[in-house]
Amino acid sequence: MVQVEQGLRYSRTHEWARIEGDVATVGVTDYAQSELGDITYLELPQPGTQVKQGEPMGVIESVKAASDIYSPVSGEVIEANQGVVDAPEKVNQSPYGEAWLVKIRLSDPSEVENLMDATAYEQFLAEEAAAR
Amino acid sequence: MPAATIHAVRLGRIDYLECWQLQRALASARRLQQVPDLLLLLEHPPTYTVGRGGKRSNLLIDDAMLQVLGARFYAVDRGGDITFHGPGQLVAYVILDLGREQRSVRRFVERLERAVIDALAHFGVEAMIDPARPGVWVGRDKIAAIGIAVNRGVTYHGFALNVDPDLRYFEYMIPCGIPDRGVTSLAKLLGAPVSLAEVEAEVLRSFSRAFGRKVVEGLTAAELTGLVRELTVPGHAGVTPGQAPAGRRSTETAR
Repeated sequence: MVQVEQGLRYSRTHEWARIEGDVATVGVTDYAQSELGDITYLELPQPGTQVKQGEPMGVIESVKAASDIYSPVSGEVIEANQGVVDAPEKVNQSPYGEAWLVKIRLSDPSEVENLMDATAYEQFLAEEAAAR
Repeated sequence: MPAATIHAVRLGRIDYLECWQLQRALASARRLQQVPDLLLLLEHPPTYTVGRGGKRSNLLIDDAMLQVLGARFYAVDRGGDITFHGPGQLVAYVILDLGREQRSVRRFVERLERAVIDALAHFGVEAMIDPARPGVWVGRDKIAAIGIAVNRGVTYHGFALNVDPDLRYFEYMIPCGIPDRGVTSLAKLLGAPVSLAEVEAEVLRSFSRAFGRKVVEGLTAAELTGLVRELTVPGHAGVTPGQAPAGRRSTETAR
């Protein structure tokens, strides 16, 4: 059973955002890591990069496939998690914890309303499973 | 949007860079629903490529030696480490809209592996997967390499199956960065030459089975490239061949 953490906001492309003030900590969900397989490589945007909600901001590689990571919010990247770049397998082990990817200073906090809460994301995952 | 037909197109022998640009243009067009899901079957002239996380150092020769071999080297936007492409190898590139299933790349790669294993079984070769090392293996030797990109939900790149390439090219690299494994080919295993066309025909069938989709041939290579040219008008959003992907520049080290 994949984990969905309460208190986070979720995108339809399976990223999460933890909103604290005007800063979002961002990662990929437990569902994403389990569907991607063993993560072997990450490319993250550097601090100072402007990112846009729903647009690719990095690359996550698993099973020889390099996939987009989308930013769940718009704003400026203020920190990238070098620890997870050096040990990408942490995404599989701790997607909501140690393996956060970037911190983004929100340029438009109202955008958070475009994201799902935990209950809506659980529902979304159930629909995905049913569509299979 | 599953269940629609996949269109297979045989491109024959095509330059790596030209084909890379074609793939990216087609992936953009696929995103805009301008082309159907596509399976491109082709062969490259001698080319070494390294994926996003890969190391140039896994290619054991310098630029001068590349020139002697008549081979090129590119750093590209797929997953995986170093690989070799050359005559006698069947390359399959898959331009497929994963849609809402774009995170399910493990399942996608498993289907590609299944397609290769089934095609090889037709020739009496028992190949297998190694969960820790994506690709298709016969014993400890790799017979097909896999490398994929998933950009805005659309896949490109694919697999390269060694039908009857000159295996000496592989001696100049550490395949996929794995030092203690070898490389083999269908012809080597059978002890007899096999035609690419014969394997292509089998891959079309096995691909259809693995993906549970109908695969049809209809478009010619000329029609496909003509279509891309038509779609690639200045200012057209999305289709921008000839442009290096964001944050990644192709490094051509041989001329």
